[in-house]
Amino acid sequence: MNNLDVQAFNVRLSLCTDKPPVIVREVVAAPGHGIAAVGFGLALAAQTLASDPRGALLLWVREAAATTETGDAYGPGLAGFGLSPDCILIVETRTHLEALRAALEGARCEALGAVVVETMAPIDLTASRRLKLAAEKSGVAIVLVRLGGQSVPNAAQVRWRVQAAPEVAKPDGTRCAAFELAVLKSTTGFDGRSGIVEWDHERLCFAQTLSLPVDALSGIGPMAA
Amino acid sequence: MVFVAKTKNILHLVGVGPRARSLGLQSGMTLADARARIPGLRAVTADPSADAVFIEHLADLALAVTPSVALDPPDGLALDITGCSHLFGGETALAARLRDVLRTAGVSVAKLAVASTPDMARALARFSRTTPCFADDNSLVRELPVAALESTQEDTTALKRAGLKTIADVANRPSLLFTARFTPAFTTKLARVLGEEDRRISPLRKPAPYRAEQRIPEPVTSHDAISGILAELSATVSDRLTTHGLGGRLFEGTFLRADGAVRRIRIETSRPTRNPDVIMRLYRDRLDGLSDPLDPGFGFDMICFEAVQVEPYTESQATLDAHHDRKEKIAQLVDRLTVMLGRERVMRLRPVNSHIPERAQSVAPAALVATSREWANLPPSSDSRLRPALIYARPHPIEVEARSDDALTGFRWRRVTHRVAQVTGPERIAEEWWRTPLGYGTRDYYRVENSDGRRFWIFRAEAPADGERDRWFLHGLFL
Repeated sequence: MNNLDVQAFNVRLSLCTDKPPVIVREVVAAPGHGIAAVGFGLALAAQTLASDPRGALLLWVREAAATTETGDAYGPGLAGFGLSPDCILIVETRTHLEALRAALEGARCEALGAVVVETMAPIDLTASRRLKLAAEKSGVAIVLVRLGGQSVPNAAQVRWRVQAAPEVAKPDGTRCAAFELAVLKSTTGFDGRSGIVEWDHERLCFAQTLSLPVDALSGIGPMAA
Repeated sequence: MVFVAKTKNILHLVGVGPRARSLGLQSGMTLADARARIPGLRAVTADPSADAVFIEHLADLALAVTPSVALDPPDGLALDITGCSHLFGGETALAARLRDVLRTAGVSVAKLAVASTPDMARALARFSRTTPCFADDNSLVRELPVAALESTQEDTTALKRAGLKTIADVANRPSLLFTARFTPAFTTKLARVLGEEDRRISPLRKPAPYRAEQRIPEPVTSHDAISGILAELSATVSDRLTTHGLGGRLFEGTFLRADGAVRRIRIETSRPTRNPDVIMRLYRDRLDGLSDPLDPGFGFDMICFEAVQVEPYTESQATLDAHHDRKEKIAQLVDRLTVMLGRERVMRLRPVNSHIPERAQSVAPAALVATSREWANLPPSSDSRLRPALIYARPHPIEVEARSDDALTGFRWRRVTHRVAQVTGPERIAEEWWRTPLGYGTRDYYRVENSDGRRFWIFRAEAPADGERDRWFLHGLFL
């Protein structure tokens, strides 16, 4: 937290300027912060869905172990987070392998907007590469959410480590979820930077907190001013 | 060896093995009598339900010769072989094939009879001395004893007392006499046994009109060959569906193995489908995902494919309507996932009108509910951020530390102590008195943020009657 104030970046980077476009993003939970990783992953997906005017769907693949850890999806709360349960398809799988297969089916389906894969164990290079190739063809955004395990090299183009940050109260009294991110890997050379972003569940975009102007956590997408 | 069952508190023989039969035992004797004759007799209690299961298995096997198989109680099978015998080169060859098939299942004493009506065949199978027995007319059946009419014990005795020993004796007399003496059912039965009146059997599985089958002279073992045959069959079935403007919702593949094992594999789709490529893709997924894979063993010698459940199929100009195209693609995705994981694991959330948090949503299989705008149409709540995005189906009990009555300082969940930084609440949620109590009474919910910034939804259950201690639970997590 201490070094955050020196990281005031002026560069504003978005998905659109990333070349090649970011298809596979990975969110790694800081120890004990699985729920924050899930939240940030879903927020990324919600942002992707919002940018799709056709009203696309989100496929949320959850491993049984992950469900025990973080609980069952709850519609009213998801709606409050900015993700309407109308556009979520939830798949619960018994094993890691099944989760990968289900995610791959999703990655092949052009009618989806995003696939969020929530697993305990890391997804290895072969599996993530397969997902990436399928998603390149179909245009589906892939978000891998890893709740535990050791880091392994994989095909994710951007990787963050996420932990929860205190909620931010907005002037009108509503509160926004906030996440503390550390960029572990990026396409634009922001590795190692960290900062706090808040999720604006009404406008469905990330905004920066007032205190910590971290503007360039690559791969998040367009930020609110 | 004999099988026994208890009737009126006496053990009777109900089934007699070949060896016991040669020693003079008959079914219907009491076990005591039988034991008196043969002291070393092995008696086993009969299990009618297991018998029924076995006979149904035999009925499945009999599908190898005809699609129309019915149970013939108590222990027979009736096969409608109209139009089937020429496939095997005559009735004799068909009977031989059936014997082979049944022998693989361990049935060696099966009695076979071929006749023009089911009742005649039944009488011949059960009472004729020759087996297999082929009857072209009713001459063979006329020689059978009157017991073959299977009327009641008194009727049979009455006929015997009147000197009528064989069916011919009865048939040669005017039927009016018997109608007057016995019941009209008796004369009907007589006519049926004599082949003068026909009766349709009601097959176990009605031959589906959308069914294709392939007999394979040289049993196939390779998966490629099997899926090749399936692809041809599904193309045939979908052609037929197309002709009738239908699509299948439920497809079944039946695999008959050379050694008599039968395997059925079903796939279900969320909307009527008749595109053979889509069907085959689902089938391949299903075969890959089976926990006990399709084991070809010594090879399959027959493969059937049928559309069990069909529904009208509405054609759509998919290319012109992008929205419809997307819906179609989503439905296909749901089908594939459902086939892979099972219906209960591919879900959608639906709103339910209840203020109890765990009852405010229901989880429905995605294969059964179409995409809709159920949540968007809900009236907007005052602050939906007050609900967590993830909840535990069963709230986890936690231990709380509080300074005074209303100031929480920390709580212990999953062996970790969390320091409370901020508390919002309480929000009081009462039980729905008109429904089964959930055991928590009126709950006071608090939204708690810990020192790391993680947010929890915890509640205090209504204090128990003796007022000892508050019970606290953790119900959900905020994102």
